[in-house]
Amino acid sequence: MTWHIDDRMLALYLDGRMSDVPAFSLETHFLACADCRRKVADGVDSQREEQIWQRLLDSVGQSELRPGERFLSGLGVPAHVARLLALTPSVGLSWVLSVAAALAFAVFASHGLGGPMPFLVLAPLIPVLGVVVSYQRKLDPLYEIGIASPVGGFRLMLMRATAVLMASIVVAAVASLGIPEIRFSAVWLLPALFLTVLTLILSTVMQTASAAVVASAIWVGGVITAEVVASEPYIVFGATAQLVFAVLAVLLMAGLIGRRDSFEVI
Amino acid sequence: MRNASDQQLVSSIAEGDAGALRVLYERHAGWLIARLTRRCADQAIVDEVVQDTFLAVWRGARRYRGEGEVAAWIWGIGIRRLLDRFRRRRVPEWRSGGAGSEPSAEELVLLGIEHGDLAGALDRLSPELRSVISATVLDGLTTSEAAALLGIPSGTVKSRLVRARRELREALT
Repeated sequence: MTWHIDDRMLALYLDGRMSDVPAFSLETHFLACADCRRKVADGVDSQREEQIWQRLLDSVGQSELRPGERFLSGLGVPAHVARLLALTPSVGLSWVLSVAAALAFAVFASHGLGGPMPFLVLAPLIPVLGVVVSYQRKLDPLYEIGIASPVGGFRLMLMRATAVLMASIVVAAVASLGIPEIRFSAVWLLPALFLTVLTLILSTVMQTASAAVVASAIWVGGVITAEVVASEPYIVFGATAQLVFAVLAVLLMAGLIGRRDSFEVI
Repeated sequence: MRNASDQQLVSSIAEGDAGALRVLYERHAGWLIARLTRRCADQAIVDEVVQDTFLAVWRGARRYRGEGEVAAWIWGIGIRRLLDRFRRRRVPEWRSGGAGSEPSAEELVLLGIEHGDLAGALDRLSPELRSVISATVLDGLTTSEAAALLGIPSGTVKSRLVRARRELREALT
């Protein structure tokens, strides 16, 4: 190429004083000439370039991450798992907010009744509801991906159920601080685990929503029966009952692993 | 990596190499800023467009077909990002030409060396015809993109292009 941009032309161009036709010529030229591109670039404030670069780095790092993913990655969760979990509907903000509202109501009811019973009955049901929300086709942005996922239905289900359980526990634990009687005791935790696994295993033989209804009915019915029949109150949350829930949860988990194949085809 | 060609850099970027993005940025951000500045006076907008452009390069490096100047590909992204900004604002701040001035004698001499009559012919086009040539031929926009940029119907862009071509042909024969 015999023609190159000289300093006078460059100064006119960079100042915006060059008229159309010479500018056309110059722009067409430097699109194909790396040396002249460098010359034009030298006329641009390098500090400004650096500032744009810094902002670009931020957006390159963050643009592909949802807020939840960023949080999970910060906790050391692998990126692909964080993506899956962040897209689990029941871990979403709207779900957490509605659960928080329900629990707040339970806390107030517990105060009104002079005992923590409403809260203790509701808290273990939160992850059950979460499981339903997680597996409702209409609510799930990952439904099709879940079917086609190479992760496999069973592992996917376990990861998401764990996420649901964790999110529920955090919300319920915060809510429990509002009730003086139970504050730091986690007597609702093992029933929650038991009911979640029960719902999952029931969902292998019926719709997830029906499974949740059955599990909830068993829970509420069981608590009421125990309160009526037993001599002392809150027996369902006593030490013996805790042990029973733990054993049942382990047994059901074993059963769930035995039925893992039914999660591979949805 | 400093010695890699632009094409090699883009394929490294497609594999997620942020270092290659840095080198490509150093090579191309400067002229992109200068060229966008000629079309948009607002420095903040130009900065955002440059950032958007390289973000698009980062995400879309796989879509580069491996032929033609990488600079031209980057410009194609950049001018469209700028266009998006204009569309969103609805107040076109597009500017064309150096404050509407006639080319200086100096410029004409400089250009005369390479372009002969073409420079004069282009210059004698009315500003409307010239801006259409600029948007389509030079910036590589489609008719409808040029229409959005200049704030005129695409039918008008087409008819102005036909007129511009005819006038240029007449001036050169």
